[in-house]
Amino acid sequence: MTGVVADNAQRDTVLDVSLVRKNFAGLVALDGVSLQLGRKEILGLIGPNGAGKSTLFNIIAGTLKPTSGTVTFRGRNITGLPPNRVCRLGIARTYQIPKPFLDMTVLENVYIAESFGSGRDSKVGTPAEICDLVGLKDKMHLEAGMLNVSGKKRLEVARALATSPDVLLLDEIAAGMSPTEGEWAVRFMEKMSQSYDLSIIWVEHVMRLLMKGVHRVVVLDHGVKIAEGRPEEVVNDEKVQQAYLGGKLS
Amino acid sequence: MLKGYLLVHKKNFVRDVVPWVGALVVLAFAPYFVSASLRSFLLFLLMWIALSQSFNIFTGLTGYVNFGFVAFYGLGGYGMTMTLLSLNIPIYAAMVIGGVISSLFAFAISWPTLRLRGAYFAIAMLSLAQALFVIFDNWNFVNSATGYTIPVKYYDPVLQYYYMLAVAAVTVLCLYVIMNSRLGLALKAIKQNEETAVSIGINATFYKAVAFGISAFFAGLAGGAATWTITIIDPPSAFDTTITLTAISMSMLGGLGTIAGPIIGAVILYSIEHYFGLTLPYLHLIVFGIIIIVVVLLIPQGIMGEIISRMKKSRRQEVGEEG
Ligand SMILES: Nc1ncnc2c1ncn2[C@@H]1O[C@H](COP(=O)(O)OP(=O)(O)O)[C@@H](O)[C@H]1O
Ligand SMILES: [Mg+2]
Repeated sequence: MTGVVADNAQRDTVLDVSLVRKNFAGLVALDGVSLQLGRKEILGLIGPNGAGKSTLFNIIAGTLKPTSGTVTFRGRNITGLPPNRVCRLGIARTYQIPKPFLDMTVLENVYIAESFGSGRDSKVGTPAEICDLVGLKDKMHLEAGMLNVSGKKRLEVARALATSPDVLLLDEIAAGMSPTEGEWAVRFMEKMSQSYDLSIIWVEHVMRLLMKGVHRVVVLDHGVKIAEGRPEEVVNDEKVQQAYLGGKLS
Repeated sequence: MLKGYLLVHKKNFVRDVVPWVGALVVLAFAPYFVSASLRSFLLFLLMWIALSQSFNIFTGLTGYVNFGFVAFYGLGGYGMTMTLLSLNIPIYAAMVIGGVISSLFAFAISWPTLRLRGAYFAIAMLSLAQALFVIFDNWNFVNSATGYTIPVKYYDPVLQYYYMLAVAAVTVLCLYVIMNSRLGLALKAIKQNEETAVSIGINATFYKAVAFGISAFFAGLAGGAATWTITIIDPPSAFDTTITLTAISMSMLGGLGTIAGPIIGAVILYSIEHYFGLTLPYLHLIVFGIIIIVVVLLIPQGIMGEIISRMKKSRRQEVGEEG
């Protein structure tokens, strides 16, 4: 509710995170974080390690229940719903540390996500087409456990897309990819967002890559939102530079 | 087309169906050719196939080890006996009621127990089965420690054999159907990574409970058929933990999560039990223990699991050579 809300999000809010707080034993991981995601928006969520980015994803996706605060998806309060219900409503997530079904082939992984998922007709394509889209076509029949880090990150994306979501939560998918692959990921997400009406929150530890693709950035530090705005504004923000202890930004 | 390709790599009628039908035909005609003692051996072998396979339906497909499995067997046995004695209905109907009672019990306890994972689930189930023993041992409604005896008028060893054959066959068929269904797909995902399964929209709580209930139903049917054959049921025999351990051993030896595995395990271990049981009671349990240690160390996926993963490996090499 508070803070700078970019014009983009104000028009058509798909996801509204309001004053979310999460306490772990003796630790405040999130301290009243609010953010809004607009339709077809790509929102960058950045911050140093331990800032609470993954925790916020876990709360939106239903893996964790917030200590307080609400998550609203298309006007519906989804706070505390179990992850399978959240996915069925149309919010898909990737894991920072990839969690594929290791003994199944890449195609089977995507196929299962497509068979369950949000339960709607696949908007992105068949499982094989999705494998092709993320660049895993020639590894489709390999067991997921045999993929390298980059391959596993691509599979995370493929599995999330296969659930036919409206909102995609990407957790450091470019970490472990080469710079060229990272640029591919940015272009790919722009295309997905436009073609399939996807709204995306994209967490990345390093800011530089994200700046090219996202419309807006939210910066977390120690569970607090310290900045929000267009990428070029945020980069020059003093608090943000302090949080990153200089250097790391560019 | 995609679905067929993914779930059953290359269907082969001769390889997949003929051995099963052949075995069924042989077993169906066996009573006409074999001695009464061999028929009795086959009957109990079929019971162990049904039990290890119903154990497999839950534990093999979900990865949750059920150490309280005997509760399903015992409740099925009691359910069958008590309905048979109080209502004037055919045996098969009483058996189905026993299975349903066992299944209802499974659903009732699934809500608290299936939230637990790993060792916690195992211990909770073990305690529940023990608790049932204590309750039945002291509960007048179920004749407490005395238990029940099936009246002589129901004695019919050949019919008992066919009932057990039917129970075993239907249990195996049901496992096959589950493995090729949406339920099987969900369970496969849950077994591999429950967190990921839930994140792609799979209601793990629901699918686990369904598998639990189906497992209980078939174990209950087998318990009913076994009680009819043994003719007596009391708490120590109905809730005997060695039944759980034997079902675990058989399905582990043969390969949890496979169709042929628990059957192979049952054939091997029950033959051993039968042989040693004649010479020295309980000796077979020591032999089981040794076999299980060897299996865990050498082929943790069991006989069929090992065969399947070797087949996969060779197929992968073929793919590798092509690409
Ligand atoms: N399940 C948990 N239990 C306890 N502490 C946790 C848990 N998950 C995360 N944390 C802590 O919360 C803080 C935020 O973690 P996280 O959200 O993973 O940060 P980020 O993704 O921004 O690097 C860290 O201090 C982390 O150690
Ligand atoms: Mg993180």
